[in-house]
Amino acid sequence: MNGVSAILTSALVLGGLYLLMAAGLTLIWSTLRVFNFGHGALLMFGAYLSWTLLDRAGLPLLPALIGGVLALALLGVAYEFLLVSPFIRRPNGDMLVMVATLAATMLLQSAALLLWGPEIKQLPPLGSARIELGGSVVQGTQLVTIVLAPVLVGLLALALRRTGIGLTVRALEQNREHAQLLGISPRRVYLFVVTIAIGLAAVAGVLLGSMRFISPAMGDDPLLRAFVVLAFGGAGSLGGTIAGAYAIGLLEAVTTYYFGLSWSPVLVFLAMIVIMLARPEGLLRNQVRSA
Amino acid sequence: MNDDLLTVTDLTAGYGHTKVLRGISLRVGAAEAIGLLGPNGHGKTTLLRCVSNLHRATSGSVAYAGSDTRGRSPRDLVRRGLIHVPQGSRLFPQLTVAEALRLSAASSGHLATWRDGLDHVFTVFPRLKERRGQLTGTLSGGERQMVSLGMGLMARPTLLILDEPTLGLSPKVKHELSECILRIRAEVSSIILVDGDMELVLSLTDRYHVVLHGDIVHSGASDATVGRDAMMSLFLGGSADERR
Repeated sequence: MNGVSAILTSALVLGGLYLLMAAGLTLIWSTLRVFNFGHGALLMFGAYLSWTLLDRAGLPLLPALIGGVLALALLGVAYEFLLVSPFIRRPNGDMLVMVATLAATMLLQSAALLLWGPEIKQLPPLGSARIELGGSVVQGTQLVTIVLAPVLVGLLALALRRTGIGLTVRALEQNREHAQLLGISPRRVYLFVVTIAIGLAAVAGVLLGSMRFISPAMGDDPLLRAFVVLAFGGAGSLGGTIAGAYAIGLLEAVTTYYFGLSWSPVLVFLAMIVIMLARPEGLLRNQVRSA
Repeated sequence: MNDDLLTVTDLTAGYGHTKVLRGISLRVGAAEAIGLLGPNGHGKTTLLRCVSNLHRATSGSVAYAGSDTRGRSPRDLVRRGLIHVPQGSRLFPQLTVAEALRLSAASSGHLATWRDGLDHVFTVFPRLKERRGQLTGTLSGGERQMVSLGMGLMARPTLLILDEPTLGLSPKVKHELSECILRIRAEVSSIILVDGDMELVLSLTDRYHVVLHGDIVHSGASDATVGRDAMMSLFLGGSADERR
């Protein structure tokens, strides 16, 4: 039974990471109708910022990590002001924003290389808690990921359902023109959504930077997987995204276990292609919401 | 200097190269209801969209409560009591009736007293009380209109703009809704009502304008006996002068 527990652990960890990424992308997609290509680079920047606060500024671990996430959320505000709002209201604004976010990826990656150099860095394990699960040990950052990711995204879902700003976000998603007539300012909602989404990406960056390594390209892989999650769960539905993230995490864990690390991405993307051909609206959606 | 709540002066607007409004002027006094009549596609909705700053006018000006609305956001106008209930809105399909009503109170700055507003809306539209937990996407056309009007009331309007509230409704539902509008008429200070039902507009307003080809071609007091035939000939392209 060692194999099963190893696969499950890995699925929950990967699923959690993809969830943090994909939830933000879904939120941005459903309100702004754009895909944020910069999300992976922002994850990477969040990891570097935390590392700097920890290693260079000498802050203790927890404040450094929280500081890194908050700093990146602040960068998210600038991101919205510089890359989203100048373009979104122009004709074909969604395409312009996508290209701008693609440019942001290169900008952020080059900036990381200039600022922090090519040496690979790593954050220490988060905590020393350990649990034995059916013969395999789950500890430190893995354990934090398994718990933190669903908690954060669950809180987000709850906030969207219960709070005033959540109501506003959902209203703008569902009927932009009428929302404006009610006095909802799209700018405020965009700012809120982008900041939250980028904050979640930073959390993923910190977790990944502790489990693996920090490098300028570290966000590329999670971004691609998050894209598969959106295709799987249907962009724009948080419920679909949660299910999609863990399904892709499980698929990746299973394929890695049985076919090896190099075959796993191939099979994951093959699954995505099949899904996009068979159910372009996502596996879990029964109707496509009109824009 | 005047005491009008809304003054529209020489407004022109269009979409791309298509001119829709050709220098429209009108005013709405405090505690006055005016009606806009005219066939579809002649600029009534565009005029309303310009007034609530959802569409930018090419030239001319709109003043609300004594100040020019140019450059003000729709949000700002809502907070000052200019409430626009749009034509045929499909609302927010995934929000419940109560959520939609609360949303309107929240976004107009009346969240603190939203429950009072809700009670009031339920007395005007008892049907909505039964439907409070239902998703607005699953309501009938008449009920959707009630929610739309109810959302307008939740925002505590000073000037309430109603664009085609009875569009596409059956005579029975239309009648029910016009009773409600009559009630709203008694409590909201000023109203601009656009509707395809001429009798309804004339019975609910103080004055009316006929909009044709983006301009006002005829105006009058709603209580004067307006000949239906004369109005029809206006709609069909005649001018007010030809009637003599």
